[in-house]
Amino acid sequence: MNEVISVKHLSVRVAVTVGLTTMLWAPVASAQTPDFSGVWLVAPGGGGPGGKVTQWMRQDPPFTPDGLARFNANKPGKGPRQAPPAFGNDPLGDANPPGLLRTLIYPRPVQIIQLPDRVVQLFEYGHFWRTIWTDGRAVPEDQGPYWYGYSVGTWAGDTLMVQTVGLDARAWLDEWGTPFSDEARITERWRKVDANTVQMTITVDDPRTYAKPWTSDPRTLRLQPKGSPNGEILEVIFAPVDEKEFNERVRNPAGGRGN
Amino acid sequence: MRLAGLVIIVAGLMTGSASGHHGTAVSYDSTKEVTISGKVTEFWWRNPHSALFIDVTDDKGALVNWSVEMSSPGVLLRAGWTRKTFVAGDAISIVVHPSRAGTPVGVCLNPCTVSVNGTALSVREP
Repeated sequence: MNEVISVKHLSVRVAVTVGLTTMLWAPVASAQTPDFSGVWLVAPGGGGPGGKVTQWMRQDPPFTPDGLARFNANKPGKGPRQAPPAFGNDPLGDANPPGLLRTLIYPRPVQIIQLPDRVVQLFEYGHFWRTIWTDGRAVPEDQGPYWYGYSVGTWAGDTLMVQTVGLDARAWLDEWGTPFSDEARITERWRKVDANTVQMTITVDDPRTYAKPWTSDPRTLRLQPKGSPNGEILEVIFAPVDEKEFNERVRNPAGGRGN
Repeated sequence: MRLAGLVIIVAGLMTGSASGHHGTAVSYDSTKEVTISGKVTEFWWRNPHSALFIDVTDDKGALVNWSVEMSSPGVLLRAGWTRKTFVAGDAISIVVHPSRAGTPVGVCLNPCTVSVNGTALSVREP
């Protein structure tokens, strides 16, 4: 009997010890960690006008020759180089996923769910989600390609810094056909300005596409109150069957192209 | 193409209407507005964009089926429309920016000015 009690006590001790050790070692969110929970939407005018190259900033990033060639090969339906989509090559025209960066810049609500070891973002645009791991793991070198990349986050005061690798380079960086390569490393900084405001930037480090790393203009997002029009995210799925029919009966005839 | 149910009401008017998910807006002439009137044949409540199809009678009495691109269901739902806002057979009058290619296609995004069976149902994105 005593042996049984001892084993039980030992089990409890081990469990408590393991639990405490986990709590001490795991980089869980502290009391000072900002809370990003809720539904967020870019504020009117909060995205900036963009420049000649990218929606992400006014200044034009310096291309490498290879990056410029891929930029010129992309034929967007929006922005300074826009052409009728009937004659473009936007990957979304065939209902491919927009991918992480294009989703981040598109003005549709994103719901953030914050857990002790991760931050989950649910994007209305395309009905996709991503996980940002905040459990102290290292940024991997061999992940992907993923349309939404592999993301690791760390807390720094009022900011969540996110590093993303393993992005699928068939996606675009924005709606304007701005390219990136599979070597791209993206650093996002999400700063909680006040209870209802977040500012975010991206830094693009992609030596195959850009001669030097560049950081976007800041984007401002506002918390959407529950019950407001954008207070809950809806289903926005681009189904190939719908996209095909839309191309045949609207997009192509609008551009003067037969099917 | 001259159509009995089609009236160019404004030319040279820049409205800066919202662009579509995939940039379809460039296919349309945002400096022109055309009012088309006829009977609804179909209403697509789907992504990437909702769409209305309208039979319009031309000046020779022939029916021409127009396509009208609209915003996505999420945007329209937030503006107060539903999948039941238009049904086949509705008498409709709608203001569109026409296709630059001259085809019977237009776009009605934000704001979208439309009346159905004599009732105004215009929407503006919230």
